[in-house]
Amino acid sequence: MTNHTHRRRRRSRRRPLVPHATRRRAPAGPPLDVRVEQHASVAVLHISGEFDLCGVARVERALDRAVGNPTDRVVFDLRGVSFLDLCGLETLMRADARARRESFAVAVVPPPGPVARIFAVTDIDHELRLLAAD
Amino acid sequence: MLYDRSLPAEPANVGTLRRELNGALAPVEIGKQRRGDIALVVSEALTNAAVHAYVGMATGPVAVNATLSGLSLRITVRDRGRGMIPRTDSPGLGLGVGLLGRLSDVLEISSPDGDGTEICVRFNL
Repeated sequence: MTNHTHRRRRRSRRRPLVPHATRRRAPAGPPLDVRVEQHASVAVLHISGEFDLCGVARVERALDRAVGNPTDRVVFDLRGVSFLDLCGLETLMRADARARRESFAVAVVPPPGPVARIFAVTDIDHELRLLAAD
Repeated sequence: MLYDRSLPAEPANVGTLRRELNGALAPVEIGKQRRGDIALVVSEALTNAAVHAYVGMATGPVAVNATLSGLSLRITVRDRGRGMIPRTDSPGLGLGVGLLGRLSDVLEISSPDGDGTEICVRFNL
């Protein structure tokens, strides 16, 4: 065992199997942040950072809090989102389905430019109510 | 080999691996939209591993590697989980495979040796 370990160490010093550049720690992504603003019967969820699997629970908890108050409409403001994948998009779709069941409305302010591509490539931009970003 | 890394198939590592791969691809000349598509595809494949691969068993690894051959970028995402078993309780909306196919030039999903799932995508750069 000792010899085996020793051989492996010597090899890794001579020639890394993967370039050092790819072994660097990943740059920390912008953490997902959700801030809820309530304006009369409208709740606005301001979401920023990378919206992927890791952020789903946080957004769904924020939605639970928002619809815990008398709410006619929930707006997901994604202008601060720097990455949005299918997981994030499906979260919005589930919120929209829930809104239909529970008689409130959902609207989405899309993320900036390239981040919004996921809406078009999934054709979901026709299903969600998208608001102008301005 | 542009990138080769394995981490536990956990939600937090979806972003970690996606960002690392994106960093490894930085020196490669790739259009902005294509780069975004690659990130979406990799994120979806990693999410699939984190959500589906190890249901009912201890969480295992998910490995990502990327190689460049001429103008073709090949990325594989491989787990060692239970393989491609349909789930009736899937939390997703069933859009994932369609997205992978739409954004990549070649998509292959297999279960090598019946051990886990391997998603292999190619992008013509």
